[in-house]
Amino acid sequence: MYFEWYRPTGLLLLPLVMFGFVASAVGQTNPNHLAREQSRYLSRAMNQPVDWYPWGADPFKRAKELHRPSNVDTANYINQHFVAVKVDFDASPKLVAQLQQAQAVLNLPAGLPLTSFITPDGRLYFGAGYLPAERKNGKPSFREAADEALARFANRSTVEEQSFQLELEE
Amino acid sequence: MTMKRLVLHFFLLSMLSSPLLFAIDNLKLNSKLDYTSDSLDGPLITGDDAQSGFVPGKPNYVIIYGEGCFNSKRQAQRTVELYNKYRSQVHFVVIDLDIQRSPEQQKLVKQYYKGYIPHVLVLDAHGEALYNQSGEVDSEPIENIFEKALDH
Repeated sequence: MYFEWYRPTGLLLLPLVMFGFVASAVGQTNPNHLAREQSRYLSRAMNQPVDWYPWGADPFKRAKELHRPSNVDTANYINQHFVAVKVDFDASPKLVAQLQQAQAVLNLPAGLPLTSFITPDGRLYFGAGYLPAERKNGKPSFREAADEALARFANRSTVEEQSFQLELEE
Repeated sequence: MTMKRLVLHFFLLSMLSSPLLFAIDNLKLNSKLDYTSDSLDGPLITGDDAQSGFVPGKPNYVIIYGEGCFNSKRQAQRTVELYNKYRSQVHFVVIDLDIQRSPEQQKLVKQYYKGYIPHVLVLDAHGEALYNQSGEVDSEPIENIFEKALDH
């Protein structure tokens, strides 16, 4: 089990940038970190069960602080293994372009929607486009991709060799 | 073995080890595309040797697109129209960012793609960029560039 193998490394949570594909998950009572966002796309997601952050220094700071227990369902799985960042394509085109370019250069799917896996120090090392709930037409499910992201993250040398340093000021 | 034979063997081996020097052919537009939304309708364009990259000797038209992007869909439609008109004179390169790309396509992605889709390139027969812009572009300016490149 790579989770067991992964945990003792002491590496911290990694931000997950994604575009709304967990929007159908059930609601939660406590708002996440999107409550004060100006973007309607982001503020609409403030009650989603995923503990979304807007893009910025906070999620990267949080990613460096946290460690992970194991998972229950998709929203909990995301909350427990990642720091989740939601980005509005229309509000942050330069940021999205940077993420798309990074994934394209790494020969990862780089269309829209975009799901990016980034280390706490801002290296994009894995990603995908649309991820269905279940594997479909050769596309991995979200869970499979997230598991792959965790496995890759556990291998520091692979991350260092195959990743793209993002500019984090936005 | 004579020098002439050696050169011939080298040439044949080079051709065999570089299958992606053949341009994409038989381009077909996905007939199920919804041009009004960013829906995911599958690959926008299909064809033979779809993973080909730049092929020297003729001008190249390159489209870099994402499947879930209606601007990419509209540009894909123009691309196939251009292909039907210029297929004998221009090489076409189709780069789908939603699938893994060949090393030849990755060279173009690394050199020209800045993160905005669709991205269109026209390269001359030697690989020099004649057009290099993100966003949709009408067929007419591209045809003008083709004509100028073909005149030289």
